[in-house]
Amino acid sequence: MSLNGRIAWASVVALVTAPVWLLLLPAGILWWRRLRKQARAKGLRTLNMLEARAVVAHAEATLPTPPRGGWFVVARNIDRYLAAVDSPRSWRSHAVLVCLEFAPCLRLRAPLSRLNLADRRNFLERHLATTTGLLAIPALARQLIRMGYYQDAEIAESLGFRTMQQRRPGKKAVG
Amino acid sequence: MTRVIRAEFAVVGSGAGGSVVAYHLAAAGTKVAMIERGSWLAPKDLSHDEPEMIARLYKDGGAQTNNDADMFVLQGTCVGGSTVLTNAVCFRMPEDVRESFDRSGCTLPSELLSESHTRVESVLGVAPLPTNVHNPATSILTRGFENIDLKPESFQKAMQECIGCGYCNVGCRYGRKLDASQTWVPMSVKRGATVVPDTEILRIDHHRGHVRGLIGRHRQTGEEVRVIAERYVLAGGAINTPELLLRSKLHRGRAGKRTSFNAGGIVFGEFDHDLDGFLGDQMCVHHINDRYVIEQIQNPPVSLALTMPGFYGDHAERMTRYARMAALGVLIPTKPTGEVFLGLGHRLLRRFFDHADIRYRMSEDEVRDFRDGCKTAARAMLAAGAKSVYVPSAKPIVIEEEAHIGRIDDAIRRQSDLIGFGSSHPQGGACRGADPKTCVVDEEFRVRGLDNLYVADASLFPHSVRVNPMLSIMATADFAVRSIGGITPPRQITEGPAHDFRQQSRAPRTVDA
Repeated sequence: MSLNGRIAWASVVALVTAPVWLLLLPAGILWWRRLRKQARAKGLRTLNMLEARAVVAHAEATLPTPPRGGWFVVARNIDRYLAAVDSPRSWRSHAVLVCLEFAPCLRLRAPLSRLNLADRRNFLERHLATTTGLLAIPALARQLIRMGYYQDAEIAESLGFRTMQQRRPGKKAVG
Repeated sequence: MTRVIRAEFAVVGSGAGGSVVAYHLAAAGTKVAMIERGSWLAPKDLSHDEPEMIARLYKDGGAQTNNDADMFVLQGTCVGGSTVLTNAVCFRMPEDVRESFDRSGCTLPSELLSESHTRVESVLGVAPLPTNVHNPATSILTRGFENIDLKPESFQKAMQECIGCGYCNVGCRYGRKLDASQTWVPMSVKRGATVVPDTEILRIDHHRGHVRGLIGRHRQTGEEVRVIAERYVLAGGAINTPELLLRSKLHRGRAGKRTSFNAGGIVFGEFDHDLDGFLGDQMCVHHINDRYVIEQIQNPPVSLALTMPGFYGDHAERMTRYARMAALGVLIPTKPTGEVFLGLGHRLLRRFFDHADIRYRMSEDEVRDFRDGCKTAARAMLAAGAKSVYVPSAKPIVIEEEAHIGRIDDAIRRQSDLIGFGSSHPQGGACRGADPKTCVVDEEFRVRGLDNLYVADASLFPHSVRVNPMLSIMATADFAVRSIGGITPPRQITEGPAHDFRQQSRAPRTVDA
């Protein structure tokens, strides 16, 4: 099924369950605002705390060593990227991270950031190691998190990469 | 409050097509306005911060995909367009492709096209990539190709004193890559053209076969912009040009059809010692045949991580051996079976879906060609001494010897089996040709049914040009100015950075990292 088809199906499901959502809406708005406020306090411009927690939970479970500033650096890097993007498609990245957080709930488990490390790793490896899936969430989430992680200068250095400053300053870049 | 821009020619887009047309029109003394959706960034505004540059230079921050989200389509959104993001690779349009275009009615006479190629090459300073900026993986991969009886060739590139930083795909902060933002755009401005950055054209205002203006908005201030000109040239690329036609209710049912790509993925070879392939130009050698092109591509960490096959643990583990990786991109020319269209979301929820959708699915033949390209790349890697080869498939296969190459047949059977599949070279969508039933643009580069609207970009191509298309697009645009402006381009262009460089014998500069 195409991405638009999946979105259409998700919309139908949302429509059918609309009365429930409408009842929960005021509480949801207050909750969302709180998440945004918490994120602002942490210096995030576009991500809210729910999305940031999903990033941290995913990164911690799938990547080898944390950046020097801890796993939250990954969320901060993704936030910086998303803040610079001017696109009508930007909402998808946020939706992907929200869906990532709640993906385990579809299997009657706690949200991703509430699972312990072993369960989280197990869930991701078992259920999200795919290129397809609803809204291509696993693939897009992986890409965002990799972008946020490998951008870190010290992580890049640990892979053997040398930035221009680390090559031969003032000279040619090669060799 | 509406800002009104008046000119004799309004050119939408400042990439490979638009910048060339704008230059010729401005050089002929006409008043030209070049409208660009993205920002105008000078080399000093660029950095090696990959995510930030991807966000600022790529359309949708590099997140433009087909509507199944299993293929990314990369395009530039900045003054200079996608040329700013290329590796400055220059291929002339292959003769068999030109002949096939001729048969489709997209006539490009051999002699005139050759003249256009020569003229464009002189402006871009096209020359073989100097071996002193070859990255260390190049000689190893060259040996690999030779060991399987293939002869890889060095790329022709539009560069000047490249220092081999390896960050071509996020723009050249040293100004050494002679893309459109370094050549045609400033040359146009010098000749009196106006560049209007950060302005997105949303609709063509037309009435009874005549375009009255373009309606858009400034992307930062939200101010409405109206462009009024005598003639209009669409050059926003193979996705944006058909999208603009469709938004303007022009050629519905034809615009956006026959979209093709040079599409592909990356095959990685892991060696038992550090290659440090990042030290030098990203793309140095290639092998080409009728069915696929194999191009070396060494990426910095973020870009490599985004294309490396593998899901969680295996991906992270492979990344720890980053310095040992060599990479070969496999590109196939797809059939014109893709489509750019305005989906249901655009009509119902425009706030969230204010973009064109892209539909493309590989045919069985295309999958076979891609698979064969991957096999050749894997063979070359093994022959070069790679101990493991990773192909861009979701199924985690590792090729350690020749006998394992058959595993690729099982791992890649359809498009959804691929990881990191995408294209930076969309083409078609507003095809030029003799058949009014299928071709939006006539042989005079004019949009059918409108007397003053022209197209001069990759959307004209009836099918993929097979090779990296920057030079083909520029040469086609150079040829198109005869029809668009009634101008015969000069035999030689004696301005621009490449010309200045040829005139001066300068000592090599050193660069502050």
